[in-house]
Amino acid sequence: MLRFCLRRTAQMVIVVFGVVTLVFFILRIASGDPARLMNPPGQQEEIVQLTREKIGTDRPLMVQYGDYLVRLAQGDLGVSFHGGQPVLDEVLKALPNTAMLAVTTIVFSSTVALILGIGAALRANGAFDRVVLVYVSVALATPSFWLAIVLIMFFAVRLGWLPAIDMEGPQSFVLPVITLAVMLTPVLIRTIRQSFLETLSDDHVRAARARGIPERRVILVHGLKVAALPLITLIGLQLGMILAGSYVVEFIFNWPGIGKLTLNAVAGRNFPMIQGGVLVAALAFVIVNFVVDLTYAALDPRIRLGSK
Amino acid sequence: MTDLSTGGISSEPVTDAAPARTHVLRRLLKRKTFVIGAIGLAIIVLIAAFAPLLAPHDPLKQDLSGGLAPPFWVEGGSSDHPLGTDTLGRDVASRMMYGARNSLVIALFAVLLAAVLGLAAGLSAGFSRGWWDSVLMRLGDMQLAFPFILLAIIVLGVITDRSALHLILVLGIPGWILYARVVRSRVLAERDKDYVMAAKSVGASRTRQRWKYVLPSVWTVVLVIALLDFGFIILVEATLSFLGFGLTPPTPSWGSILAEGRRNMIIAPWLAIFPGLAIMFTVLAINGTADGAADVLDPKLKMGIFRRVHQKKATNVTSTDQGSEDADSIRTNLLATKDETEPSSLLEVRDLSVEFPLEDRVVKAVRHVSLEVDRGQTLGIVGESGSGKSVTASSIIQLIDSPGRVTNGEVLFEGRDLTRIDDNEVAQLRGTKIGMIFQNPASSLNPVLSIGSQMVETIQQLQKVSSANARDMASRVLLDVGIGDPQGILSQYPFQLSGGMNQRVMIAMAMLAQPDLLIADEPTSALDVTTQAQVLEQLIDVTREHQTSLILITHDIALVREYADTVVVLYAGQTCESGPIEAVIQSPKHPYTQALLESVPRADLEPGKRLLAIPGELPDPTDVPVGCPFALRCRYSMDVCSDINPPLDVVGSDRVAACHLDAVPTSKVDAS
Amino acid sequence: MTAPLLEVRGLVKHFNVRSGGFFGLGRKVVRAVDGVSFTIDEGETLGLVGESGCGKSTLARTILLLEDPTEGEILFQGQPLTAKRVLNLRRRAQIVFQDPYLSLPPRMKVGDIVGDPLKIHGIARGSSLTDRVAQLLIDVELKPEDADRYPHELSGGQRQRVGIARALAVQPSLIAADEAVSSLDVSVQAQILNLLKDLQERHQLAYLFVSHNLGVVKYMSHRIAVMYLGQIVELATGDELHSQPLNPYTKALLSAIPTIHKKGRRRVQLQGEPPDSGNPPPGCKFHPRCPIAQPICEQDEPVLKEWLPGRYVACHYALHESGL
Repeated sequence: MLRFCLRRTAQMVIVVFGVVTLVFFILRIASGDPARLMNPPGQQEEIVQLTREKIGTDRPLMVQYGDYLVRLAQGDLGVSFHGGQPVLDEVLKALPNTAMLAVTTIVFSSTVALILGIGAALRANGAFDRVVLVYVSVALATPSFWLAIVLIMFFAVRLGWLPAIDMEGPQSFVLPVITLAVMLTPVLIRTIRQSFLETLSDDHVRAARARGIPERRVILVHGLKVAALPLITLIGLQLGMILAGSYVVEFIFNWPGIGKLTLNAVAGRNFPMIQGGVLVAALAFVIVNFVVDLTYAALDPRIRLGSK
Repeated sequence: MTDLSTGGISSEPVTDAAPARTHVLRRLLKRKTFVIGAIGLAIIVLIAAFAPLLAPHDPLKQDLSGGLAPPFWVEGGSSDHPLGTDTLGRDVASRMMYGARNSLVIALFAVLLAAVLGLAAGLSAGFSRGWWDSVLMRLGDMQLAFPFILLAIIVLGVITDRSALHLILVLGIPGWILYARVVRSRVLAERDKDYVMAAKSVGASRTRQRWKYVLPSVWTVVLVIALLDFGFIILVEATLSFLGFGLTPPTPSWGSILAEGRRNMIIAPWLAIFPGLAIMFTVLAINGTADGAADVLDPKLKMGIFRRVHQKKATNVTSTDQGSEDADSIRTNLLATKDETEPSSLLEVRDLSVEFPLEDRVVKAVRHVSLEVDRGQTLGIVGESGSGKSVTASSIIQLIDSPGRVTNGEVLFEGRDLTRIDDNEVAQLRGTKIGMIFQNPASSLNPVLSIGSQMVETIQQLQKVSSANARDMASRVLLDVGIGDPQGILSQYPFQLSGGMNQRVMIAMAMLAQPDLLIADEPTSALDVTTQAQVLEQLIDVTREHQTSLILITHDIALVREYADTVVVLYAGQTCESGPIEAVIQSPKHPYTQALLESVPRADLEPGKRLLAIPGELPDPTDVPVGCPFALRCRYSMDVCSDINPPLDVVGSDRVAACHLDAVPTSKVDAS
Repeated sequence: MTAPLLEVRGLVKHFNVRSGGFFGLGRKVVRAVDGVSFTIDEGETLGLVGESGCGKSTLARTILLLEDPTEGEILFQGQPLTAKRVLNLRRRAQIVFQDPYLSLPPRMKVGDIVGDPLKIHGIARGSSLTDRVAQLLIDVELKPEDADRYPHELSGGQRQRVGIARALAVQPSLIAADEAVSSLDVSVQAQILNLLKDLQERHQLAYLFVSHNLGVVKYMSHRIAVMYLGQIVELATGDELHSQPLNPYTKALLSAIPTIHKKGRRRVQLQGEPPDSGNPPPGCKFHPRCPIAQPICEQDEPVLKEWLPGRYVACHYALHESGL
């Protein structure tokens, strides 16, 4: 157990470290000079140089990198190029907003996907199944940004039922969560349906029926218990997808979360802020997956007790 | 025995006969999703390819006075600009056609790039299996921890003049991990198969093994993933354009038109709607094509979600909670409604036929099979693959795998026809009066529940008892089947026990209700010889002790000789002969039985003498020949055998056989 | 006296596996083959019989250097096998596998599969290759036209014939048949067994015939070696083994086999479960289950010795029960 945790922690550190390093160097190598962009075009070179000194991009690359790492180890994510606020503060302000959106979406999507996925599996090839599969196909093909706009146009502008933008009150969650859910549910439903179908075909399910166990119990206890295990890993997947989708959704709905923060930072070549946003995303992803793997192992006796 | 892994589809008669060969293209065309998808995709591709000819206007031509004109069917629109204009007066329809071009080309090359990189990486990782593999997979993990779209945004965001090449590289390169993972796992799966070792044994170098033997089975998976990835990349590219990180304006792209639409949501909603619809249509078409193709090209991936699913499911069983009725009360219930005919034999199967209608053919698994089991007797059913023995067994308790169904005959248990009565009542019989155990003990138990909880569940099905009492009962029953340490076993999981132990647990569970009949479908075929002997002895002891009748299904006629009183020999779904075991073995009345007895290696065969091999192959159950199914392989076959299927005739006391011969000539080999 | 075709001395093959512990991260050593010695003469069939986990398949593969031996010597036609002589070995010794569905590459045509060995060793090319392939197919009772078919178009028995043809292509002197008929239907098994016998007569082949089925092994073999947990516990001719088994395990094995004749024979009941090859018992590996085990069996591991002329047994009490 301990060995496993240690190994994974080491892996996580390497992964996050690698990600952060990659972003650090891409930004500074590929980008133009942020100092120049922060000044009006045609600004004199001395003023631009002052800006450079102020934000620290005049130093050699490796020095900048070393400095960054040292600060990072102390929990200091640097200061924003625009305005000088500590990046950590801005990130911590934005994080809960994205987290709330993520949790709501995960709960909602998982529930919907479980109902639709299991329902479809139980009546495979039937009408319900077909409808669900059609939904899956259409949802997979729907661009999230387009859906968000259409939803806003219809529910906010035309009908006025829900707010179009900003995070204010529980109603403001509805449209963003629906948009994200349409992104997430197709993959979830497909996986759940497949997993359930396979489990229901397993030998042990047939043997349970032969023992006279009623069908409902067969499905709920024997079927679900085995099929449910892979579903836990889906939570990690969902988080990844939400993180990816958050950039678009927070942009359209003006949601004050990590996605919007990072996007704006990219537009403004605000390196420390970009790095802060990336760090948070990578950390969240890696930690959640670790917890998921641990849970999976704890629940599956074959892993917990070490089968050959 | 042998299993055709065809992605979730199970039709019991696994045959040894040669399957037909259908051309890939024909199979593709049979799938509706593929055809519809391919047509849609073709339309888009054609529009994109011929955009210069089809577009009514130059997509870059501005007309500032005619900005934001609506589509032609709305007040204020004109057929000159059928889908309206954008803020700068440019024709939306034309921009969308050229936009299609850009999107498709970028996506195509990005996918190609990713596929090539991924294939190379996956192959090298899968074949190396050492540190290189770890490095690549860590790299992949790292990449996956980083949202792909953010990486694209960051990189593209810092490039001022974004061309198609930039987009292709940014969208394509990170895609490698998607392909690499699947290719790697495919390689790992294939390289452990015997045929690779066989290649090694004939002298193939490692390179040759990889390229000539493994690669052909692996690369097709790349095609399927590439198709699906294609749709995904189109979506990503559109998203990037929407956010402002796509092709630099004024190059037309669907995403940027949509972005404009968002800015003018209220006054010009069409600007937002049309590009979205176009994207959806394209991606739907691609996914449809991919879905249909996935099943044909690579069924192991199980990605095609629209294929018809065959699950093993009790036919027409609606569930009722059985509650906790006492086993005895169930018995009296059923006895009260018993039929009047033939009460002496416990089970009588009359003229049973079972069919499996598949997509393009019908498998006649069981054809007019009859058998009988008396109280306290053991019946052996002997047959090879395709004989229908397992399907017959499943039919008795009405647990035939879907889509199988009974097309003829009756299954009379204590006089009641199980094929005709309500499914709930049949369900009540299962586990109480009729029990069944299966071939593979490890997979017949729920892998994530402990032995104890599964046994307690079964016990509580039958009687209202507390968990503690149920566990005690379980312990006692386990002792009955020869398990020395029942308490220890109860807290363990199936994977921790050996095959023999698991099968004993299964026997114990099946015997919990002291059923009148126990069906054992190849219960020891998966076990070692010494374990097999132990388990079978246990099975016989416990059934004798409770006067339970036993049906023993096997391919091994020697087993039947050891343990059964009567025997039924099946071939290609039909009964060849049946009768008391001694009589059948001493003087078989069907050439198949005789040939079977002679082709099994015997310990006392004189050295230098040959076994009499039965020539030919087992017949294809979808292509049942007219006449006797054994005719082609029978050493005594006559003309009439190929024309007329011999009926079952009485050929002795309690003996029936289906053969045109009056008597099977005694062969030289003595079977005593 | 000519040297035997194959001589094996003290062969050992270990595997390091991940097992047990949390998340299966523990490690242990599995001694699949634990000190095996025997010979095979030209044209002879040595049967190798045992239950699952006894190491018989591993032994067959290690002899052909498909697995690297951990210790021991293998001499082929009197010459020790070294890494350099592997290709040479591949022309003289071949193998036929158990599963007809897994032992043929799914995307290669039958003609390619059978012809590839000829290409690799430069035995034939072009039209002479096609002719040789056609002849090989005929030898295994298939048709020359079958060369154009794919494995999935053939039945199990036909596929097994293809595997045999592939093994014959290089004209070997020894073929290891690793459960070659165990996955086939009963009515087809005898066909393949007789084919193998015919081929043996025609081409003077030696076989190492591995199987868990003692009846099949006896039919095919001149001499039989019984394996238990990585070691040979008895070696004798088929008749001797059957009529007068000396090792208690052999006796138990024989008595466990259901036979068509002689109902109600005396069965030797074994105690306990089949052993874990990663954690073998001390001393004689069979002693926990042996009906005649004595204290010495737990301490001293018995060595395979020639108790009677030509009869090798590994047991401290080999002659006691048989009344000799």
